[in-house]
Amino acid sequence: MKFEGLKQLSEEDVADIEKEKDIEALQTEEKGFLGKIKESERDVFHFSPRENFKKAMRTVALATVLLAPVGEKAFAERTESPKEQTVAMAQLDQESGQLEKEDDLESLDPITEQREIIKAKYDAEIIGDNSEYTLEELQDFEDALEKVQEFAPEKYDELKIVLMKSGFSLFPRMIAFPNICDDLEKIEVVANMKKHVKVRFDGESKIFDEMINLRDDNENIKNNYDIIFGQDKKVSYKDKGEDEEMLSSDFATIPKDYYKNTYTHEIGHLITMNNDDNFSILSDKFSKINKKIPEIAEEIFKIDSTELENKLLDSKTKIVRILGFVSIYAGGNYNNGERKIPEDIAETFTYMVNDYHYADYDPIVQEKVKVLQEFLNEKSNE
Amino acid sequence: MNNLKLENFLDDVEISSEAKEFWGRIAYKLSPEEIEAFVILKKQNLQDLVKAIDILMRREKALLEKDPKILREILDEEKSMLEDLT
Repeated sequence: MKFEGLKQLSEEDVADIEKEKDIEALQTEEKGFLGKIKESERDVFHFSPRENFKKAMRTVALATVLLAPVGEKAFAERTESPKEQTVAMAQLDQESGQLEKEDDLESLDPITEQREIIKAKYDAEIIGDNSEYTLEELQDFEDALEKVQEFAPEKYDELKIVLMKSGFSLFPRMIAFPNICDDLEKIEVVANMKKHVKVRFDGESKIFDEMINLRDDNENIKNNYDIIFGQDKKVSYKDKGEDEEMLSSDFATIPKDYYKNTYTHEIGHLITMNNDDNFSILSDKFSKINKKIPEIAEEIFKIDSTELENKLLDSKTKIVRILGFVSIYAGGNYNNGERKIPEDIAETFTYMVNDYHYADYDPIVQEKVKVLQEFLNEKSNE
Repeated sequence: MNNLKLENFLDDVEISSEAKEFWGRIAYKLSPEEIEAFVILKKQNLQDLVKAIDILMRREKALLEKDPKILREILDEEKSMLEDLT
């Protein structure tokens, strides 16, 4: 055999080889990227509500089309099978027509759809007729759930939230009842009582009492439902003596998000009070921090004890607070001369969920945020 | 009748004649999953369909001409499109 030696590659040959390598690398990168997008979006179908289906469907469809190996040898070598494709097309045409009809039907009832979204996405139940809620109220509720779930996913997962309207009209407010009982039917019976009982003058009602009576300290308290008594959005603003354009806020929320963040505040109660022992430890920590306020006020802010309740308005957020607290409500809420620590905690929680920073310069608030963050990071010991 | 339906998939879409010719060449080689994806895009977001076909045409041309620069541009365009959606 005659040895002819290695053929010398021309510059053009080398350039071609480089190009082919580049193309191969690009195709690998492209297929990896599109394949990953397709797979990750497909996961949405397992746990997300209909709301996200269309978006995920669009993304998966787009990635699938772009993955078609058009222009490649593999595609050129594919055989044509008109029958199979045509059948697939006809079936799809029919199915998507059916889906559109279903969509049209559902769009007639946005409140039902919103309730389904909340159930599917946040595993939260809503009790009562659709007529008891407005779409805006349910959207605010969903926004609050979303923010809390993102902020403290593990603690959120321990909750079984149920929203119901209390029917309180004389003294409208939202109330949280952690760990009531594990029987949703019993809760529904109590919720339906508002149609038949009169609200007492002191603002509480038989419904309130009955809900407390339902409390079942069974062994597996984690399975108990956590109730939120919601209120009408319109009534909620009236209760503040102002219209929906509140000029300032005594709560840890910018004025325009007052209703939404009242839900955040209530969920804050549910999360922090879900376990009695842990809540007791957290409350003690908050109490101890609050005891440092006079000293810190004098040392750092040169404020004497007579000025501790002075209102501090944050001009950007329009939130009013007092030193050591994220809002007036957090610090100015007393019961028999004692500050209501649960309100301080729920307000601090709302401050954190909303990623507010208007009180970050206050070392007392900083300490509360740190303590609450540690609590939220703790694993459940149940 | 059915054959016509697949071939005429783009008839009611405002798209270039080159794109329609391209579709005619590839349609019967697509897998049922790929056809499903085309149908979904047509029903849900026509702009995506038009853009995707344009990308496929440009990619086919770039592969035939062995042009990595254009392929890189296409890949960046795809990333931008899909990242906006996710």
